[in-house]
Amino acid sequence: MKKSLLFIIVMCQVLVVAAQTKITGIVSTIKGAGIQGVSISITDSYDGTTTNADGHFSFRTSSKGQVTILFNSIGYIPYSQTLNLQGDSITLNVALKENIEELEAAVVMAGSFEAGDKKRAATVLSSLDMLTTGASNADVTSAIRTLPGAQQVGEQEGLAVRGGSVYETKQFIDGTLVPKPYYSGPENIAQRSRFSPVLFKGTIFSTGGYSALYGQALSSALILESIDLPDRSQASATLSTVYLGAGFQKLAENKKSSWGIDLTYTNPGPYFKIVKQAYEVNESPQFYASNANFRFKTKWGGMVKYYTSLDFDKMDISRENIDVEEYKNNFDMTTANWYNNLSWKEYFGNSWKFDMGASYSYNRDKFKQVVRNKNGETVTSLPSYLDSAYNFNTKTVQNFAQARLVLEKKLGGLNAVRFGAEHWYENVEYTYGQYSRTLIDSYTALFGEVDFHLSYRVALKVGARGEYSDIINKWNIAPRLSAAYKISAKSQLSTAYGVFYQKPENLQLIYTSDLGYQEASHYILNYQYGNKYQTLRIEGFYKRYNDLVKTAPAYNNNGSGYARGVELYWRDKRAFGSWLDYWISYSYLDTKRDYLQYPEKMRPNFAAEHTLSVVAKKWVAAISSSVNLSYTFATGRPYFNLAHNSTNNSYHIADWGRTKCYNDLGFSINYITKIFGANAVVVGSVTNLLGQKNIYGYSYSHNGSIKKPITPTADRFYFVGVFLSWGVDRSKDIIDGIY
Amino acid sequence: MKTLLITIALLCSMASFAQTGKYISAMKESIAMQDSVKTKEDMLSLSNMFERIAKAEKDKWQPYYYAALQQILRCYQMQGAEAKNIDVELNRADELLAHAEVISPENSELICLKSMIASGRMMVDYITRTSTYGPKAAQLLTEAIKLNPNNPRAYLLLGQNLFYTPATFGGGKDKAKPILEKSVQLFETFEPATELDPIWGKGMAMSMLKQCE
Repeated sequence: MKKSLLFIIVMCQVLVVAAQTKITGIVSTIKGAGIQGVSISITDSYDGTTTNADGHFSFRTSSKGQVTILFNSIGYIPYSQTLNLQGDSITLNVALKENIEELEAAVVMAGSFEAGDKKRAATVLSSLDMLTTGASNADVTSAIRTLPGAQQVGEQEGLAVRGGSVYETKQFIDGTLVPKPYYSGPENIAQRSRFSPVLFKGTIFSTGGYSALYGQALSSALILESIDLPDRSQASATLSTVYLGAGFQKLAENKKSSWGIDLTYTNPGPYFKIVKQAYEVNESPQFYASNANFRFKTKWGGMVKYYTSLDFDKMDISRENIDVEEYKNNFDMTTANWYNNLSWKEYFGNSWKFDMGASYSYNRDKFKQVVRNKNGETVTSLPSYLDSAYNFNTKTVQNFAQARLVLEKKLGGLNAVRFGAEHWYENVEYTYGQYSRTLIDSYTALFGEVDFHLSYRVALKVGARGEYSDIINKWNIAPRLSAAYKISAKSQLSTAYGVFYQKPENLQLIYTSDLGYQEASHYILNYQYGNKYQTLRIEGFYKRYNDLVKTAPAYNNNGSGYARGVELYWRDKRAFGSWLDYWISYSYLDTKRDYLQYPEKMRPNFAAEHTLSVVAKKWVAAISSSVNLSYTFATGRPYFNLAHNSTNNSYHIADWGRTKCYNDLGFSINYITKIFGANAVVVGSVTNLLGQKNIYGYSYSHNGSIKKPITPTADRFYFVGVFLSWGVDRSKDIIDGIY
Repeated sequence: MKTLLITIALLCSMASFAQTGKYISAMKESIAMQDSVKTKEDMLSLSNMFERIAKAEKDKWQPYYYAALQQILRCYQMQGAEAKNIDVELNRADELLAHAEVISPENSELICLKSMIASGRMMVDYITRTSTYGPKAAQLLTEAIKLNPNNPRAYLLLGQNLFYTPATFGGGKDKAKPILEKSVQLFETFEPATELDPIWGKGMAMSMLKQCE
């Protein structure tokens, strides 16, 4: 008995060995390249293997009869097949289809810089970067100015991009336009952005060729995406040389909703007493800013966000009058701004998603300027040409509302189609002295685009936008096209083309509504190389302007121009053996335009030929501080005096020149510590460390005989602040809890 | 008749013994291979091997555990251009663990691997992800310790996280040291519930503790 049992077992083993089937083959892509690391298995057995570097595999299985063989690899769609195993060797060659969704595919990116905390390793600037860029003073726009394409136009707020004026750059928050992204102020003194970098998880700075989802910006779009729910509840307070702030953010227990408020009071009066400004401060500028938000996750997985801010500002300063030395121009301003933004993102059946946005904003600016003599008395006997130039009393009330809907359908892989519509309503009332005019416009846009991946190497984005403005009373059609080709895992080539329209400025439209859209065509070619820590971008562009607004000799759309250039960006987050995080931006710009009262095509005063920025950050563990330096250089910008010929209402160049080169070395230090149980960041910063006398341009007296440089309001801006936050840092509790 | 029945019964039990024997020997062989795999490619092959065992056995959490472990360790080696694939690669580890947790819920060892995944996701971008995945990893380890206060690997991972966290953010060698000491002490007395349960980590804990001195 025992013997026979043993015999049976031994026989079985022999049979098993004899019945093993050998399976060999190659697993490749559709194009025939071998794929490494594909897992191959016979279901319900241990048998199988993993392909080698050429995609080859070979293994034996003891399974018999009908079995299923499975091929599995990340980045590819799994494949299975039924086999009939009879002991004969089997050769099996399999081609797997790429699963574009999983792999890092080519992404259309010509013309745009992504900044922010989006979950892509290739982000260019994070909100932390914006807070720690040497000379940016936590201002979104100042940090963006260290990227290629942006000009160092320090005498006015906004972004002058690639030969475009600041009017040609628009800002969008969660899809909707922000009509007044900056605080109001007098001419030649740049104001800060209203929105703090910490409000945003993502910032896309498009220097051209942007998507059909956006419009009404000839040059550039700054697309900001607000954060969803905060990580935790926290209270915060800020003490600084120019402002005080307090805030509170509450995240609900179930982590489905949150609300928060922030209050800020800015008064640089005491600071101005120590650091003299280029103008006299009659009454210290004061800014009362407040904002509140409410956000919640819907039960279908979507997100609803509401943000509102309410600001009141005032300022009363005196500056030199160029025409009469002993006179001063006394500028007095009060403004109010209320901004509201509501958005709802929702996913619904069958890979559909909608994105709704609505916004309403109200802005009231009251500017009053009078000329005073050295005794501070108002001068009433000014010649009329000076009176009209220096004495004014204006009030501008702007109401702006918009609604927007975008639908998106995912079409498998990364392919998608998006389309939607938006409507803007604007009502602006200008009061100048006793005259008053109201401008009302409704603007409607329809848009659509398709993301199309021919393979994971080749991506196309094709879109179009149709726009109609009541006041212009005409439709336009703006095609947009971009394509990307992934050269290797680390590099890709992209290109973009697009036509962009923009309405003339409101002040021009109020003068005459007999104007049409201004137009720009962009052609962009981009090469990007990137790995986890390094990014290299080279971009060349050509831009053609048509139908720019001319204001002399007559109001019409006869202006035109061009811009072309090359830009370079290099960032290494772990340079010199992880020692330094730095980036370099360089822009070359050649541009000329004939617009406004220009007598001919000329280089505008907001366009320098060469611009270079170097930003470096170093975390010094020994002093728990991040030490940041930024250096910006730009070659001189043109300045000119255009003198009026009253006979034919034209202008000629009476004087012109080029400013000297611009240099700014900024420094900041962020020291992280604990104060009163709060997480504290102490920030100290100074702009223009070397004390260069920078000149942005020149102002001319009425007769052109006197010219005065337009300069920063002080050589340096110093800032010291303490940011405190009290939050529930759960990881600490955990560590303490273990002891 | 009786003899026949006994023979059949014996044969059956032999067969099932052979089956269990096959599982144990395949597992032991693969577990032993863990020490010799060095490259990411070999780690993937080994992870795939464990996954095949897991899928065939269906009711054992250990092969899923080791399949996930090899996948995670492989991601820890990804650098440069590969790093951007870490997220999708770790998704595979998450899926493997999800299977294991159905078989063995509230298992301290499985929770430890989940914390390793959170730490791995942090590697993709330390600056922006530390605030989310740092606390998450720590919270998972507390959970692992709560489920099994004698799990030396949970303390090892916690100590490791503290070791690599700058002192200003509540980490540092001083903070890591007592936790690693506790880990080493637990390793001295640790007895796995079965011969296939995880036992790794003692050498790591000791060498890291040495670096804290």
